[in-house]
Amino acid sequence: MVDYVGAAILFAALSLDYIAVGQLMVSRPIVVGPVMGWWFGEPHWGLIIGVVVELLWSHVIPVGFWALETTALAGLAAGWCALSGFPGPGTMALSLVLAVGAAMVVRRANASLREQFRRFTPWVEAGLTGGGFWRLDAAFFTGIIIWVLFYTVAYFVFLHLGLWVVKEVLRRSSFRFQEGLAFAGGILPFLAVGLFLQYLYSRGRAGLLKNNRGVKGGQL
Amino acid sequence: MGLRSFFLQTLWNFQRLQNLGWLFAYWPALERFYPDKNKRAPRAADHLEYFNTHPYMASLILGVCAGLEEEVAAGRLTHEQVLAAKRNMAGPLAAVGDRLVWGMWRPLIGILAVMSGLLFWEKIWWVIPLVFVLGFNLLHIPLRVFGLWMGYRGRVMLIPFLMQLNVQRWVDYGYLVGLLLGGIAGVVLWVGLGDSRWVGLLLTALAVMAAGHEWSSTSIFLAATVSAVACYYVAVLI
Repeated sequence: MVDYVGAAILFAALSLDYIAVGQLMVSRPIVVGPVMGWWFGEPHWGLIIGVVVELLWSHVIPVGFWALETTALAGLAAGWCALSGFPGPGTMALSLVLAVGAAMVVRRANASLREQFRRFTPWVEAGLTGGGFWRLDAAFFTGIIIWVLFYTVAYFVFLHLGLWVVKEVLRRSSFRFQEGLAFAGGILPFLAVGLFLQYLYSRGRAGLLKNNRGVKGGQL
Repeated sequence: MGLRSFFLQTLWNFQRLQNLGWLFAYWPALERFYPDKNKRAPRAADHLEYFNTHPYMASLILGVCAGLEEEVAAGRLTHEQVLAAKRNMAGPLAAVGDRLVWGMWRPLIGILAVMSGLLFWEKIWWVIPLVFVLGFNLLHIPLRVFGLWMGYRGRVMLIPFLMQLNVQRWVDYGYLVGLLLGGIAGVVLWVGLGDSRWVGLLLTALAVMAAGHEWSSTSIFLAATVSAVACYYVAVLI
C-alpha cells in the first residue's frame, strides 16, 4: 500500500528548502526526483527525471514570480512515472509534459501565498512598538507551518489528479503513440545536456569576451 | 545569527522582499547591543525597510551591520550609517552571489554530480544526489559561516577583499569546466541513443538554436517532445 500522505509530507519537507528554509539545494530536481522515485519504488526513473529537469531548467533561480517550480515538476513527474505501472521513457516523457502544467499552477499558488505574507510586516511592526517582540518569532513559525501545509496539500492533490490522467492516457492511447512517447523520452537526456551546454556557453562567452577585450580584473 | 540567516526568505513578500527575514536574522545583534527594549524597538522597526540580496551573501551584510551596530551602541556612529551600509551592499553582493552561486556553481556541481554517477548510476543511484548536495554546500556553508565572521571583523575592508578575489575569473573557469564535463556527458549519451541518435542530434541542435533566440526552456521542452513524437510517426509511415 503506497503511503501518499507520507510522500506528500516528504515532498513538503524537501520543498521547504526551495525558498523558505536553508536553500541547501535538497529541493533541486536532481535530489527530489530520485528521492520521490525511491519512495514509490522507482529511484532510477526518478533519477533520470531529476537529471533531465535539473539540466533543462538549470538557469532557473529560486527568486521572483517567474521561477518555475522545478521541485514540483520533478517530484510529481517522478511520482506519476513510478506509480503508473509502466515506468519507462514514454511514461517519463508524458509525466514531464503534464508536470510542466502542474508546476505552473503551483508557481501561481506560491506567488499568491507570498502576496499574503506582506500582512506579517505591519503585525510585527505593531508588536515592536508595543513591546510584543514575540511576534517576530511567531510570524516565522507560522510561515513555516503555512509552507509545509501548502506543499503537502499541493503534492497530494496533484499526485492523485495527475496519476489518473497519466493512467487514462496510457490506457486509451494507441501503441504507436506510446512508442512515439518512448522515442521522445529516450532523447530527452541528450536534449537536456545540449541545452545545459548552450546555457553555460552563453553565460561563459559573455565573461570571456569581456576579459579578452582588456577589461581589468579585480571587478566583482 | 548564522542559524537564523537560513530563514532569510521564509516570509519573502512582494512588498518589502526579505525585510522580515533580515530582522529575524539580525535580532540577536539588536538584543546584544540594546538590552533596553525601549531603545531596541525603534532600531528594529527601522530594519523592516525594503531589503533584498543573495541569501548566502546576506551573511556578509549581517556581519558588517552587526559590527557597525556595535559602534552605534558605543556612540561612535549613527544608526543611519548602518542602514546606509546595508542598502549599499545589498545590490552589489546580490549580483556577485547570483553570478557565482546560481549562475556557475550550481550548474557546475550539477553536471559534476551527473558525471560522478554516469557509469554506475544503475547500481548506486544515490551517488548523484549525494554528490550534488555535498558539493554544492562546500561553497554555501563557508559563505554563510565565514561570511558572517568576515563581515563582523573586516567591516570596511570587506569590499577591497572581495575585489581582490576576482570572482569573475573563477566564474569563467567554472563555465569552462562545466562545458568540458557537459561535452563528455553529451557524447556518452549520444552514443547510447543508438538508432535514434541522428534524430536526437537534429532535435537538440534545433533546441539549442531556439534557446539562442531566447525561447524559454519550457517552450523548447514541449516543442521538442511533440516534434520527437511526430518524427517517430513520420519514420513509421515511411
